[in-house]
Amino acid sequence: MVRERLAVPSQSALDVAIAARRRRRRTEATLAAVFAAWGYDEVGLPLLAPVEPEANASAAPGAGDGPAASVHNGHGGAAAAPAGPHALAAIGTAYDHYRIIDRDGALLALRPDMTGPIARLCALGDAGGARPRRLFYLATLFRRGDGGGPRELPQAGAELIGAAGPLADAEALALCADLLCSAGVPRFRLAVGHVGLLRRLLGADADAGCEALGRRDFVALAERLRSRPEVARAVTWRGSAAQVLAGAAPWEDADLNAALTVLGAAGLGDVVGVEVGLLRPGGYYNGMVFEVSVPGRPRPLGGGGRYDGLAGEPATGFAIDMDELMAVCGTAGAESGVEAGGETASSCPGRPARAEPSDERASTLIVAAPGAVARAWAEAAALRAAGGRAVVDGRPLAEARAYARATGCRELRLVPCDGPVEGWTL
Amino acid sequence: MDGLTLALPRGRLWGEVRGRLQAAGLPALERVDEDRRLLVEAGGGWRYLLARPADVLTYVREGVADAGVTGKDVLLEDAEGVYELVDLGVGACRLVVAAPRDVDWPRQVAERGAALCIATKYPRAAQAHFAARGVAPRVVKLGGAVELAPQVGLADAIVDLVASGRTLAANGLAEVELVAPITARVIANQTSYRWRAADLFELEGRLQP
Repeated sequence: MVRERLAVPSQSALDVAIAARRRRRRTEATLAAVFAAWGYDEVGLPLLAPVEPEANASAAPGAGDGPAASVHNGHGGAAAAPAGPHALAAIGTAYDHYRIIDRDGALLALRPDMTGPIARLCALGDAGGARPRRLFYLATLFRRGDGGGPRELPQAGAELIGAAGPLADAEALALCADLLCSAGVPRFRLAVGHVGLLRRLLGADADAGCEALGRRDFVALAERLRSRPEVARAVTWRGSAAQVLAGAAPWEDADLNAALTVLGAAGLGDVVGVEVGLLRPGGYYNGMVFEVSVPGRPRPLGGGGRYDGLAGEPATGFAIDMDELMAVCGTAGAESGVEAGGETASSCPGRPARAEPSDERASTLIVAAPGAVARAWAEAAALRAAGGRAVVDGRPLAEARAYARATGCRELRLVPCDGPVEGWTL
Repeated sequence: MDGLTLALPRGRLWGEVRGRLQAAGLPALERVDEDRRLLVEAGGGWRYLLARPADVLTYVREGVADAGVTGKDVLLEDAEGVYELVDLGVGACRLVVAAPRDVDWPRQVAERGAALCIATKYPRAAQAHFAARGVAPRVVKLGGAVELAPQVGLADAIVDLVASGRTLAANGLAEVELVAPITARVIANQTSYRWRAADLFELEGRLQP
């Protein structure tokens, strides 16, 4: 008995914290490698940033104290923000955030958000730069928590700036899924909505309907749409990507279908569920939005969506809550990787273990000829699995080549519908 | 369908809510009042957690219950992170502003505005109700027996639930404004909404009035 007790090492709280930190570092390294493999560059931003006085004036009601203020997790803002430079500064201050007055009386804020500052960086510090820009961050945000105390929110996030269309929407989702799989999340679903489609379906009831759906209040929604039950059915419909593509949904959206087709071909059909009534916190989403749902965790792990117009150009992105991610991955996931089969089916499509990422910083640009997107994505996935950096582009070859040169890509490949892939060294 | 874990409201709401659940074919509801146990394994995967209506929200939000039933008053105060699926139509009452009987309330609001003090169990709902009219009174949170506050000078008025109005009258108060009609609502956890979608959809269908 005594022998057995002695054989079990005791773990102090510090031991537990050290082990957790080690796992966290490993996971961050894994995520950084995935981001790099998808051609994303890390961006760092100051923890403390000045708060512009005009931004305070234009900040939406609900910022700061009061019952209307709400704390949001993940990608998204607290209220709708108009476009323009003041708006860009205001985005950060629309959150319930912490302010500091420095010695010179300047008002600083502990950053509550990365999307706004990154959008600002691209608008003001990268105007005329090559598009799209692929950026990621591993950063901690600070928001006022429930009960008034501070909440540190470590996040892993990405912004794809300057790319419109379903290919870019699908890229954001697929990148998110790849991050989750690589980190060892055994089962997850991506619930996908579309704000543009939702608003079109709601028509004259768009504002009231979105207000109710934003609060996830289906009773208020049904009440509002009492005289239009077919609209209520349409906006509360949920189904798999396959069902949508088979025409089972009571609506149709060509862009959404295109994105779902690409995701299906990439092996994510079972992971993606369509929920057109899904609304992420924040009034600036205008297109596809999504949320990460993991069984056993009460809240979404993260999410994001398209927010064209926030920085004056098309943009989409997402954020993953690192604390939630570590809670899911625990000890097993980050080390052993994804198990195939077992008691519960894994959400991650069968893939070869990823090779160690090469030191090569330059990417390969893979151009998809019209109709060859699925093939191009498969080409990119293979390259990434082999440790390379791959970016898929759907533009005409000449445009893509110019982009490849401007962004320092070392190789260009053209994937046709059938026949061999052509390649050029740049 | 596979059974769900439901957080159910003890107290005022329970009688009528149980009737609706029974009509929907949920098993073993009679076991709920049998003894003092707060967790009932009802068979077929169904589990019932008995809690105060405000705590039903917490159990559902934290995901230990897939769904639950609570009053709309609880949701008006805080509905973050749960889906509101069905209005059961039972447990009907009103959330109101009540003031001492002899007071000219509209005049009070017009003249004193932000100098008013409102006592309530629902500070956020109270604040939102007045904010919608551009008034920002001071709001004091109480845990219960809120009708006492105006009598002893703690507050000028209260925001509280009223059914028959007898408790208000007995304490010298009268209803002066309606904040919202209140009924029992079915709520669901965000994750269960996705992972138990079929079962929740079935439950929803059975509970729709």
